[in-house]
Amino acid sequence: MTPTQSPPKPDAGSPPPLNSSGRPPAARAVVKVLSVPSSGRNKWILPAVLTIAMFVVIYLRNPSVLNYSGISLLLAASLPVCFATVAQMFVTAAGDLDIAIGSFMGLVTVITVVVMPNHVFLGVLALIGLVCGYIATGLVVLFRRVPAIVATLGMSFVWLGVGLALLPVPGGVVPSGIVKAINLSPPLIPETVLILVVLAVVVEYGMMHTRYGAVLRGVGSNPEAVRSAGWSIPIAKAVLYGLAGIFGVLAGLALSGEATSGDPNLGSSYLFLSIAGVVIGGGGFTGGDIAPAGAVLGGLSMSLLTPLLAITNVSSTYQDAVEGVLLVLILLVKSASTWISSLESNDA
Amino acid sequence: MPELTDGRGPLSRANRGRWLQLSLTPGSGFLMPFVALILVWIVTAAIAGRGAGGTLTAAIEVGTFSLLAGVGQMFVITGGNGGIDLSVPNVISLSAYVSATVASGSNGMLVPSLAAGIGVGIVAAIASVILIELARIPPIIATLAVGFMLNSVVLEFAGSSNATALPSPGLGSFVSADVGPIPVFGIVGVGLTVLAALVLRRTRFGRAVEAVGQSGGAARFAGIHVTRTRALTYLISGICAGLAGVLLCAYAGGPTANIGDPYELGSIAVVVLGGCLVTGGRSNAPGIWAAGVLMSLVVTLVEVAHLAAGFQDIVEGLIIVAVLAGPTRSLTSK
Repeated sequence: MTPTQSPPKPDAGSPPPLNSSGRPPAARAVVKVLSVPSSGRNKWILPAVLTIAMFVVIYLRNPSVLNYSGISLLLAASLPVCFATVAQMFVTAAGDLDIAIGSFMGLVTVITVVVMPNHVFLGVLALIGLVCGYIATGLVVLFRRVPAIVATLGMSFVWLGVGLALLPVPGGVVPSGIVKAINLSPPLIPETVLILVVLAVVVEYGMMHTRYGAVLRGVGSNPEAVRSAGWSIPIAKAVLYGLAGIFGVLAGLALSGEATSGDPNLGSSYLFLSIAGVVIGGGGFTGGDIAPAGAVLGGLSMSLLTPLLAITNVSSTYQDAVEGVLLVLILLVKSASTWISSLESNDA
Repeated sequence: MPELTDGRGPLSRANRGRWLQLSLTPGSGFLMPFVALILVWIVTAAIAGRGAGGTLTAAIEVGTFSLLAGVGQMFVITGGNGGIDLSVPNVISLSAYVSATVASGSNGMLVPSLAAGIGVGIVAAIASVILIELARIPPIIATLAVGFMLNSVVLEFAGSSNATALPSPGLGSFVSADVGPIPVFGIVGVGLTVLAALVLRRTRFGRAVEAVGQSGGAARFAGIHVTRTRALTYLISGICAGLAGVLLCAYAGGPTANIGDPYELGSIAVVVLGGCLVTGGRSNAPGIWAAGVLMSLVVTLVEVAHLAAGFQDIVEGLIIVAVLAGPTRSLTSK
């Protein structure tokens, strides 16, 4: 705590207790700044700062990234992570957690190489079927009152198994349309940046600034209120799981476009990445506690970790450890921030 | 309220009788894994047309690894509060490498290598407990993060390709030994199941784990040290996973980076299939044993039926979902 020269009270020389209203102004300012990331609308600040810091470090090591092709290259792997994070966010909005996202994405890559090349219509139908599978999982969780962790755990075996049955050995060729679609070169702004900005704006607006968005968040935080306001909980839960399925499909398609071949196990790292993205983005697991734009930024920062470590000559062996430490640090900052803002509100 | 805070806890004789009754009533989840086990065994034997006994003993041997990982997971999950240990696969892999490095293929280093493997689990558990109980990070995230940190060490070991990192040959032959038709390791598994059941049903600590899992607040009023009880469940999970790593490494003849991978979801799956309450508060050690054997029988079934490898996962997944979607067994939903 910084000592100040303008004491409101004579005993300012000794460190004042944190919850006293006679706290020096500088300390108040520090408390104010520290409590910002935990308050409702500002959850995106922490992941934004983190993402910018990572960009700055990468830029300082290699200034050539700051142009069209450099940014395109840097963000090449970000789409699957960000879509997966948004999918995970919809499930956390319902107060649940999705263990199946990784094997689900793997299955989508399998469908793109096994079904899509010869039967486009059948492939699209299969993907719609997968989304229905997600909705069914959500309804089982709701009506059987089982923990989502276990229901999605069971489904993750099913997705993986179907993927392995369709494609026992990784391989195949992703239709060129999908590969082209994620490698477009629009003028001025790289495609990835455009997609991420649109994604962040759309989910932030839809979930935080529309009436039905509030209903969807209410499913996780206060289902009684949602029900008594006349909204259907099963429909809202189905919508949340359906959106998770749709964004899971998008994540899988982006992954196949990036990998250009299919593999049921290709998505296995995205379970951790999506959870980490949600947490770093400012979301919680208590239901309704979401930060949609933050989730996109959180996913983006997780995907920047690989180039960041490469450019700072850290062995890729330690990427997992860095991800783990980063996750813990973010959570520590978050709980510290919540604690400090609770002190702040005690003041008033 | 002296009768609530005198430290005796929920150990009254009446309570104990009720639990015994609950755990022996069909439909409470106690018998279900055994019924499923027998059904899958009959189908497997019918398709194979021979070797029914051998199939079962082999499944019991392999299923003991799932049991070992699953028993630890069961303690954590039973402790409630969203408790789950996702660091199990990484503890197993790291323990395999560390124990093999210590053993260097000699029988003389058997005890130190066992200790080293278990030590890995204890370190991981302490890290998880610090994050969960002191930093208040949700268990699923905390153990995931710890697992990731361990995984980097595993990759470091895997990358250094130490050719002398081999398990003790004595341990290897012990794990795969048979007494007549009965696998020795299967007997170890049954012994472990009985031990876990006794701890959970007959010790103060075991009763405390279930009480804490049912209601942390009520358990605290009953004089149970909630934080310490939950911390001990993670310690048990770490020790079990560490031991599983040493034994799995000895069974496989050497460590590999992904030796623990099947147990990430597998250890949770046996807890679900074993009839434990996934929200905590009710455990079933014999069920874990049956579920472990069931899981390895499913692998055999898929093999003898000449199904594609993926069907093993599909069947396991559908069994989990069927168990969940079946008759409600939740304590809280009545």
